[in-house]
Amino acid sequence: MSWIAFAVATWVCFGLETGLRDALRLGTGGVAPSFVVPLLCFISMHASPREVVRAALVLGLVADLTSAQALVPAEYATIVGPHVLAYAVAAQLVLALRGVVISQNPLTLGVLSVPASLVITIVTTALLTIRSFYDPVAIAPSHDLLQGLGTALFSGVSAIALALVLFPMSWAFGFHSRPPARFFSRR
Amino acid sequence: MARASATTSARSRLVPLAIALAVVFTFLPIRYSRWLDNFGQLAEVLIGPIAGPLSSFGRTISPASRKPPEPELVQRLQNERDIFETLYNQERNENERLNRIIEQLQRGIALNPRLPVRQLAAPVISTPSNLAGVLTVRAGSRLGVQRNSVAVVDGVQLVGRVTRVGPATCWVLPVTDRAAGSIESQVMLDDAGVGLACLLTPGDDGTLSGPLQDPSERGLPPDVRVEPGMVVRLLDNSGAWPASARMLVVGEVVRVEDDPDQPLRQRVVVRPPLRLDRVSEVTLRIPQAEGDASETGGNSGGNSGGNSGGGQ
Repeated sequence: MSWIAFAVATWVCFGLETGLRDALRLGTGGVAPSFVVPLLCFISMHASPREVVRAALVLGLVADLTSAQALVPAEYATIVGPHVLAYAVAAQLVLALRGVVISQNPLTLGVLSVPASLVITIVTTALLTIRSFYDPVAIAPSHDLLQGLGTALFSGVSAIALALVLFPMSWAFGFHSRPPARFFSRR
Repeated sequence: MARASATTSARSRLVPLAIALAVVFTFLPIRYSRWLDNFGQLAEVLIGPIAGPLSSFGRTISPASRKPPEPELVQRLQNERDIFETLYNQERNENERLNRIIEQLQRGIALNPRLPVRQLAAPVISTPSNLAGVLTVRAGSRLGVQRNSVAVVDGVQLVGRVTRVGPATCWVLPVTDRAAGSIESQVMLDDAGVGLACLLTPGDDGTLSGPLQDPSERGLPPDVRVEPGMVVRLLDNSGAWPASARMLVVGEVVRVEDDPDQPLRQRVVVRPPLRLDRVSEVTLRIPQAEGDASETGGNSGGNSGGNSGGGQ
C-alpha cells in the first residue's frame, strides 16, 4: 500500500469529518456522518492484514488527537488510546468479514462501515466508562451509544458516497488485490 | 542479511508495542497526560487548512441565522441599538455594583480595580471531531486569548466562553451546550433595566430554561408578567463569568410555563436568535489584565479597541 496516498486520504477525510460535521449534523444532537471510518473500512477491505493494523493505529491516533474528551466541570482533555484501540478492533472485524463480501461493490463499503462504526463507539464508550471511575470524564454511556448508533447508520450513507471517489482512486493506494473490477472498470 | 532480518524483527515488534502504549495511555490519569493537549492542538493546526474551507462552505449552506436577512442599513442600526442598550444596561449594572463596592469598602473589603476588555474578531474554523457544538476559533494565546474570554456575535449576543486555548486556536463552548452548565440571567421587563432573575440550564434543542424569580422578591407588583419576546441578559453575580460579560444578550423568551418542580413558580424558556454552534465568526472579549477572567469583584467592560469589532 502506498503510505503517501494513505496520508493524503487521511488528511482529506479528517478535514471532511471536522469541517462538514456541523453542516451534516442531524438536529441539535451529535449524530453526524463519519468520513474516517469508511476510509478505515476501505483500507481494511483491500490492504494486507499487517498494513491494515498499522493504518488503523495511525487513523485511531489522529482521531484521538483531533477529538477531545469533555471533563467535569466544563473542561477538555486530549486522551490518546481509546480510538487507537477501537479502530484496531474495527479493522479486525472488517478483516474477518472481507472474505465473505463482494469487495468490488461500493455498497459493501457502506454496509461494512455501519458495524465498524458501531464497534468503535462501543469500544471507546467502554474504555471511557472504565476511565470515568477514577477521572472526571463526562460520559453518559446510554446517550453516547444511542448517538453512536445514529452516527453508524449515517456513516453507512457517507461511506457509499465516499466509495464513489475511493474506488476509482484505489490504483493510487497500490493495493495488491485490485478492488474495482465490476463497477469501475480499469482501462 | 542479518541486518535485514533485524529490521524485519524490529518492525514486527512495532505493532504490539504501539498497542501496549495505547492501552497505557488509555488508562493514564488525566493529570499525567495533560501534555498530550499540545499534540491535539498540533493536529488541529495540520487539519485546519482543509477543515477551515470545508467548514466555511458548510456554514454557508447551513447558516446560523433563523430569521430572513434584513436590509444592511436596518441591520446596522439594530446592531447599534443593541450595543448601546447593552452599554446602558452595563452601566446600570456597574452602578449597582459600585454601590455594593462602596458598602463593602465601608466594611474594609479590598477590591480589584476596574479593567477594560479588548475585542478581537476571529473566524470559526471547525469543531472537534467528537464534540457537537464546541467551536474551534482561529485565535489563540499568540493573540492574547485567555481561558474564560467571552465570545459574542453582533456585538452583544453572547455565544459562550473560551474553555481551551492553544497557540493558534481556541475552543469556545456555547452557552446552549449541555456541558456549559447553568447561567444566572435576567429577563428584562423594561428599558430602565428592571428585570427578574432566572437560572437557565441548556436543553437538548438549543434552548435554555429555568425557574423565574418571583416578582415579590424584587419588590415588584405580583401582576408583573414575563412575555415571549422579552430580552434575557446575562446577570451572573456569582463571579463564574467575567464582569465584562454582564448584561450581554442571552436570547429571547419563547415560552413561559408552570414549573413542574415548584408549582407556585414559573419557568422560562429562552432561545438565542441564532444557532450558536453554527456561527461563522465571533468577537472575543479578552480581559486586558489578569483578574477579570476569574473575577473577584470586579471589572467592567470598557471597549478599548484592539482589533475591535467583528459583527458590530
